[in-house]
Amino acid sequence: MMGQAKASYAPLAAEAFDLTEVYREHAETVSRWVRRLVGSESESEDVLHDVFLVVQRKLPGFRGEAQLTTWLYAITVRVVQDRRRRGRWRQWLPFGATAEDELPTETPNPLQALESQQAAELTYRLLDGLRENDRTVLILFELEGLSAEQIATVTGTSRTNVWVRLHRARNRFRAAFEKVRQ
Amino acid sequence: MKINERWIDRPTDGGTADDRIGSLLRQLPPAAPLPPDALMRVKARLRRRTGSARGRWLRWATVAALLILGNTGLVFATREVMRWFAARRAPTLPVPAVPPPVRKHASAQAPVAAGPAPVEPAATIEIPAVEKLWRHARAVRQPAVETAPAPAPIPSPPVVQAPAETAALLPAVAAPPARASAPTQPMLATPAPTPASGSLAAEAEVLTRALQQLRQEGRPAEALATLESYAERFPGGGLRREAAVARVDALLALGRKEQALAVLEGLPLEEVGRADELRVIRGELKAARDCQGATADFDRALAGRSPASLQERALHGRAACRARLGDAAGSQADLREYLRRFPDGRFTDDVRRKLVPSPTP
Repeated sequence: MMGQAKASYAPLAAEAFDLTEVYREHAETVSRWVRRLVGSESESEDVLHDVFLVVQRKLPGFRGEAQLTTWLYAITVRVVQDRRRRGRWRQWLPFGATAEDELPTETPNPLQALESQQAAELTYRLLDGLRENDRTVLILFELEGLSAEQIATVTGTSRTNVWVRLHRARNRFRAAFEKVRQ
Repeated sequence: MKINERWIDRPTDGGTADDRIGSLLRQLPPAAPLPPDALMRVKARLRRRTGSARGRWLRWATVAALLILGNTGLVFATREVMRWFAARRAPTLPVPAVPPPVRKHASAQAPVAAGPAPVEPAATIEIPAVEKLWRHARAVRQPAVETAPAPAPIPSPPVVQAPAETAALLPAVAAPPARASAPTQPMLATPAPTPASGSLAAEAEVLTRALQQLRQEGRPAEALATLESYAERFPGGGLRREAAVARVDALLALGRKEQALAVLEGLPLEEVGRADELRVIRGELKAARDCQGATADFDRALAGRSPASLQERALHGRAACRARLGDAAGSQADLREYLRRFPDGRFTDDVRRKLVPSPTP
């Protein structure tokens, strides 16, 4: 969760920000966010690379006004959304095959692994039916456990907007879930 | 379910859709970070990218330089090809010192149902500004090898006949004589030609060719075709007004007076050379069907500082129009003024016939 990441990191002075340092400190955390938001391990590596490319470009302008983790989270969310939007266009192109879903499988035994894999597969399939912004809000709220305020900060919107999106996302997710069960 | 309640916190034994979704989400494994080797690969990719930033800029700079060079080469090649075509189409340039005699067009000699009132062509004509422009462009492009003799005056266009018979006194409509005194200043008001103005040079080449066909070779139909091609190639060309004037000349030479009038009526005369002359021609063409409009043109020509030859034509035309409009007194006044100013003018005999002797006191 973002709160945990925040607690483990003391913000550095503006001049202390260095890409190598930031990567060493935060790459794991960011990669976890990426895997959660993307839902595919093979794609996650490329997304993580994209995230840190943005970080590399924007780091000189980061003055520590916000928590570094919040800043990184916001970049991650934006990069994932952009990439998924581009991917939606690519899927219509003959050469733009999307990556196959490789879902997180950190489970102790094969049976649980199978159940987890099936649950994750269904969950991300249903999530993919949502609008990109709604999908992000739902993941951040339900799976990442962020509060509405934190989601508003990360996505750059208002709290009200977050609630509206969450409500809409839940309704659609629920409807899709019911349809799948039937 | 409350809006701030999470699915994942729903009871496990509930039967609602929200409870089942909660169960589903609880089955999801916690999102684990990427394995260390994947993180190392990303780190290595980031390092490579940082190191190759300069190379990337160099590549972009090379691409940009190649694009600029390619475009320059294309422009140069296009200009050379156009020059080559122009040289093939206009092999007689530069203009010979002694121009061949004008060959009158057949249709220009045919009477046009009106009382023939031929007007002698002008003896000399000033080189049109377009040709000056083109020669200037050539001279700038080939300063060392340009040894051609200075261009000589180009003969005037063929003569056309009077517009209509309906008014006995109506003056002749002549192809514009374009006398040396005709003002050419407005044509040069267009941006000064420079070696970079390749399009303008190309326009000038086509237009010069049309003027040659019209004035030197006496082939107005071919000149008109050349002007058509000019209009197609340069729809918004910088010399379009000069082209329109040449079109008027060609149409008059072909006897297509209505079309010539249509072109003249769409032309802002203030912005072209030979404005006074074109205004008089327009008046003469209008006189056949619109004496009011024609009189306005004649009035304007007479009020300005137009050359005497144009004043003569305007005065004669206005007298005719006034007579047609029922203004006998005005017409007679114009006829008397004509005789006073031009006792040996080309319409003198006609004017004397129409002039009613004033009663002796």
